[in-house]
Amino acid sequence: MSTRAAAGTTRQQTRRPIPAPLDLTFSAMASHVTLRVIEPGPTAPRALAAARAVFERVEAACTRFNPDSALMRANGDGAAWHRVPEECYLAVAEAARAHLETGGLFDPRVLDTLVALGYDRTLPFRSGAVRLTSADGRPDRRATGSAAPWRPDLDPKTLAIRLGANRIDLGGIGKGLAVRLAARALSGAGRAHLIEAGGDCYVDGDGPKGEGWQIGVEDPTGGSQPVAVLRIRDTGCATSSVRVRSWQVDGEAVHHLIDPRTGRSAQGGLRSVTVLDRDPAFAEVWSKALLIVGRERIAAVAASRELAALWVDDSRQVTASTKMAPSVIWEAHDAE
Amino acid sequence: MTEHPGRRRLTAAVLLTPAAAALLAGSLAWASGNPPAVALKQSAATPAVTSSTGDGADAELQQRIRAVEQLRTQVASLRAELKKLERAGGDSSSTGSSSNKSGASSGSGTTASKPKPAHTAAPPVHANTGAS
Repeated sequence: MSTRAAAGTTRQQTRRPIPAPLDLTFSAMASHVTLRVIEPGPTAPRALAAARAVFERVEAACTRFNPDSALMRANGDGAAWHRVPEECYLAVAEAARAHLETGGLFDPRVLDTLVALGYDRTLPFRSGAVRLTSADGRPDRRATGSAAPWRPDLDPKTLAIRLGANRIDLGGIGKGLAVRLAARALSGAGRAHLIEAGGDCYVDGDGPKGEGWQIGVEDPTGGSQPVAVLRIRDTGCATSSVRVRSWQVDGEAVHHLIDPRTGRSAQGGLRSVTVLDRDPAFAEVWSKALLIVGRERIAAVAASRELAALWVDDSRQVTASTKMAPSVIWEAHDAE
Repeated sequence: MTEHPGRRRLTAAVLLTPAAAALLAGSLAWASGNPPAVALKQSAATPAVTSSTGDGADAELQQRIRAVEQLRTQVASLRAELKKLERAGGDSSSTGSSSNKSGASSGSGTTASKPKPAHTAAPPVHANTGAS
């Protein structure tokens, strides 16, 4: 008896305790960012710092709110070649690829439209309703939809870009790219990890309890309960929504998801679209493109592209594509 | 798309039980208007004779009493079956929602599906995906 008890004690003493999750939170790219490593290994603190640095580099290179950023310098003279940081080059290259793959639904040349709508600076969306008037000194509201395909010039050897006539915005795809690069930085830092940056996430491994990560899809109409809960692993997850970045210009409701076919805020009857893909940048691109596609065609496009997508329409009806359905573990009532 | 066998049995039981109970009640009403003591006595004393000699009224009475007994047994059996199916029905409805969900996932691959609305509170989440 005493021998068994002693052996048991020895086993307990030698069993390595499971380390607590390691979290890092900060603000970047107009979003609150959370990085979490489950059962972190010895390299986790360094990996977390590297992942945060990724966000900072992408933001510095791709922001449109700093006239000295690499992007804005390239925007400032579209006829000239500009050598840019790797993050900016990658974001422009990804945007060009996304423009082709979505048949033009994803188009970064919406910057002038956003500026014309008064979104030329960080607006206080989370502090209440934002109302702008032309008297605020905003530029005139020209629609800047462009029918011609966008083909920026890219030189991978020198990391140089030439953007052409239209200025571009890399906000959304920049964040998707940052999540992708941060996920690489966190690879191997622990048993699993999570990156959450506003609408863009990446989940690695089986989650804290080995059953996958449970991600709530926010109610785009502002409710505190999610409209659905997904259980996912090893995938990017992006949501495009009109919940936050919506405002009024001269009494007219507008939002930041511009339909390049009309040069106006998308009015397709959808409030939010969530897309899963192993590449968070790809998920980000398609969540935006599908929202622009609109309620009438989204099911067909999601099916033909084999996209895992979930969308909420203006009547709060929640619908999941066939590929998304296995990941939906809970769904709220619609039209409540 | 086909109906669950358990649910089919439950439906049959639910439909049969009132009919059987009504028949039982009718038979009992009839039996109360006819003195059972005589019949029982005769039955106990000369069971073989009653069935073979053929006093018409007595034979009919015996037949009806047997029918009532049979119906009583049948009703008890149906009630037991009903209870069992109700219990099983409760279990199968909770698994039913998950089978619906998996059914949706194994759909045609070309159409979108609308998952069943949940009546419960949302499960805990590790993070949210919202506006990007």
